[in-house]
Amino acid sequence: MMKRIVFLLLVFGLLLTTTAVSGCTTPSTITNPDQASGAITNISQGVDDVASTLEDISGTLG
Amino acid sequence: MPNKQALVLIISVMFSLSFVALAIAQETTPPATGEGGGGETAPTTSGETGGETTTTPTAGEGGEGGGEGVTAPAPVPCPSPPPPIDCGTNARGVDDLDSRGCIIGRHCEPTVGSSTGPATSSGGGGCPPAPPGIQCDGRVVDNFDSNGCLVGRHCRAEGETGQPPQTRQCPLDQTCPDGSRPCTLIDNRCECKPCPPPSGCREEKDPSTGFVRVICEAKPEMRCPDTPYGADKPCRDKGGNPVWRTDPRGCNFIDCQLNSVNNNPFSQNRTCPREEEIQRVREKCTDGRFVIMDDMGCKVGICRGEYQQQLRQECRFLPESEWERMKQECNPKGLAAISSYDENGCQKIVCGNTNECRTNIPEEAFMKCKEQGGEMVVKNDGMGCIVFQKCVMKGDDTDIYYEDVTEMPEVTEMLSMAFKLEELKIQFDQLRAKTEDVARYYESVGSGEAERFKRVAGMFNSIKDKINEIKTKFRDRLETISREDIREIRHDIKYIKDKMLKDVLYLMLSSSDEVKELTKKSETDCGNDGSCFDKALRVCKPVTFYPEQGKESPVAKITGMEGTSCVLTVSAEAGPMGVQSMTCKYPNYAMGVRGPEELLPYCTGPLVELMKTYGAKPPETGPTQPGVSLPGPGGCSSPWDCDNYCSQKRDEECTKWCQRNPSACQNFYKSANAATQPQPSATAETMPSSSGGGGGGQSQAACSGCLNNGVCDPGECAGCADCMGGGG
Repeated sequence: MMKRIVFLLLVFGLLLTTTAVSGCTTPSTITNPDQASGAITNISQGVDDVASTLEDISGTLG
Repeated sequence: MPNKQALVLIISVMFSLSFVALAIAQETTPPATGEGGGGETAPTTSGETGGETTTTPTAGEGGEGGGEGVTAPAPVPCPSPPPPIDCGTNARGVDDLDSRGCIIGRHCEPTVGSSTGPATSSGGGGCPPAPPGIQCDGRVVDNFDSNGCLVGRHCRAEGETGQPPQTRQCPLDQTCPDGSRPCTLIDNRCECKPCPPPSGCREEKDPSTGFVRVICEAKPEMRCPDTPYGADKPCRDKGGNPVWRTDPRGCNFIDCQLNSVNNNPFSQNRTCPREEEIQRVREKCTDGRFVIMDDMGCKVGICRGEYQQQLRQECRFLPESEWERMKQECNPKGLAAISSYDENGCQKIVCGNTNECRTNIPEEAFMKCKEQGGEMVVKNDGMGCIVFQKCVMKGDDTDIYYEDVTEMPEVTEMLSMAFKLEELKIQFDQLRAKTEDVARYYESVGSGEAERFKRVAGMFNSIKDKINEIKTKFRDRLETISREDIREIRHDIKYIKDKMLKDVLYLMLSSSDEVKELTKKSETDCGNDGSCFDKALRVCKPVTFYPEQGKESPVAKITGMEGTSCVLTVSAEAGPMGVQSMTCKYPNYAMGVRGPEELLPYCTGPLVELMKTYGAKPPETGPTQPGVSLPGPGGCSSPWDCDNYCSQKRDEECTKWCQRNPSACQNFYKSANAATQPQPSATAETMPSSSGGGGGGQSQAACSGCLNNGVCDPGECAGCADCMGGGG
C-alpha cells in the first residue's frame, strides 16, 4: 500500500514539475536578432495603428 | 484487481494533469499567427522612383493583412521594373501593378485638369494652373504632387531616373554586391555605402534592435517662448502657487496652481479640490487659459498663460478616418494611401505605390525633431529601404487636461465606439504578447534590453485594462452616461494616445540616458517628491521615495519588473510593532497610483492590514470603523473626515471626541505630538509610525492602530474593536 502511495506521489511530482516548466517558462518564439528587430518594427507599426483608432475615437468625442 | 484500479487511476490523473499543463502553456504562449491589425506588409524592393516615396506599411493598407506573428516575413523581391516612360507635359506615367504590387508595365494617363492645356486653369480637377515649360540641355521632366497635379518641371540628364533633383536616388534595378540598394546619388555616383546622416548628426545603430538612431549634436535654433521676469507675479497675486514645468522641447513655463493638493500617494490625507474650488479657479483665471489637469488622481484647476503654449507643433498620430479619406482619393488614381513624412518629420498620408523604396529622409526633419525634443529613429529593411521612421519623444503630460463637454455623443456613436474599443483591447493584448516575446528573447540571451520590453509589455497591459474599463462604461451606460463620464473618458483616451503611446515608443526605441538607466537597473532617490515617484512608477523605474519628511518616514522602493507587474516594497515604523513592511506587485503601474486603496489589493505583508486600517482613505460612503461614534465634531460622517477635521480644528469638542474614539484620531494625536515636540515632518500623515497614535502624554500615547485580527495586540488602541470586545 505504501509503495503505491509513494509511486502515486512520484507521478504527481513529475507531472507538476512538467506543468511548471511548460507553463511558467515559455520560451520565446524569437530565436535571433533579426527576428527580434522585425518584431520591434512590427510592434512600433502596431502602435501607429492603434493610435489612429484612438485619434478617431477622440475626434468623435469632440 | 486493485492493481488495475490503481493503474486506471494513475492514467486518468496523468491525462487530466497533462491537459492542465497544456492549457497553462497555451495561455502563456503569445499568439504566433492570425493577429489582425498588425499592419505589417513587407515592402518589396522595386518601384517607381517618382514623387513621394516610402515603403512604410500603413494602418490603412496593412491592416487587412494583419495575420502575422512576431516576425516580419521576408520580402519577396519584384522583377526589375520596366524603364520609366516619358508622357510629355499633359500626361503622367502610371504604373501597372500585379497582385503583389510589383510594377509590370507603365502607361500614360492625361494629367487631371490638363485637358484645358498647361497654361489654363485646372478646371474641375482641382489642380492649380500648370507651370510654364522650361528650357534645359537634358530632358524636361514633370513633377506631380500626391494628387496627380502637375506642380513643376525640372531638367533631367541622360541616365538619371525620374526623381526631382533635390531627392535624386539611384536606379532601382541597381544593387550592391550584398544585395542592398545603393544610396542616394553622392556626387553623381551611386555608391554602395549607407546614406550619410545630415550634417551635424551621427548615426548610431542599435545592434539588438536593428534601429538606427540619428543623434544630432548641432543644437537647432531653439524658439522657446519668452518667460518675462516676474511672470510668476500674477499667479502669486491671485494667491496661487506658480509651478514651473518643462515641456519636451526643454522650454520652461509656469502653471498657476490655484488648488492645493497633497501629492503623496501613500497619504490618507489626499484631499482633492472640490468642484466648487475648481470653479473658483475658473473665475479667477481671467488672463490665461483655464484647464483642469490630473495631479496624481486629483483634478486641479490650472490657469495657464497663453505664451507658453506658443509654437507647439508636435507630431500627432493620424486618425483612421484620414486614412479612409486618402484611400478614397488615391485608389481611383490607381495608387494607394501610403505613409510618408513631411518636412517636420511628422507622418502624413500621400498617394503612392506600396512598393516604393525610400532610402533617405529630408534633412529638415531631423532638425525639427530635435527642436521638438525628440530623437529620430529609422529602420531599414535588408535592401536599404526605410520601413519605419519616427521622431520619438516622451509623452508630454503637461498637455493632458480635461476639457469641457459641449456636446454629448449620440447613442449610436457610443455603441460604435464601444465596438472600436473592443477591437482595440484585442490589439493591445496582441501587442503585449508580442512585446513579452521580445522581452523573453532578450532575457534568454542575457541582454539588458529585456528590461525595456518588460516595461512596454506592462504598459500595453495597463492600456488594455483601461480600454476595457472605458468600453464597459460606454456599453453599460448608453442611455445614462453623464457629461462628467464623457469628460473622464476623453481625458483617458487623450492620456493613452498622447502620453502612454508616445512613452511606449520612446521606451522601445530611444537611446537616451533615461532609458539606458532602466536597462542598467540603477536606482534614483526621489526624496519626498511625490511627482518624482509618480513618474518613476509609470515606467517602473527603480527609485526610493520617502513619503514624509524626516527620519521616521516610511520608505517606498520600486525594485523592478516581475512579469507585467511592477514590484515595490514599502516599509514603515509601526510604533510598538516595530518596522513593518509589504511587497506589492502592481500591474497598473503605467497609470500611476492615486492612493493606497489602489495599491493595497496587490500587496502582501504585515503592513497591509495596518495600511487598510489607517493608511487608506475609506470610501466616502463606505463602512465606518467599528466602535467609532458618528456623526462626529462639526457633523463629520466618517472617521477619516472627523480625523481631518479635528487635526485642523483642535478644539475642545474634538479633544473629547478623540478621547472617546482614539482609533479614529491618528492625525489628531500625531499633530498634537508634532506641536509639543517639534519635528521636521509637517505632513499630517496617518500611516502608523513611531509617532503614530501617540499623543504627547495622553492616555492613548502607546496605541498605534487597530489590527482587527480578533486579538487585542500590544500597541492596539483601546477604541479598536479587538480591544473593546475584550479580545485577547
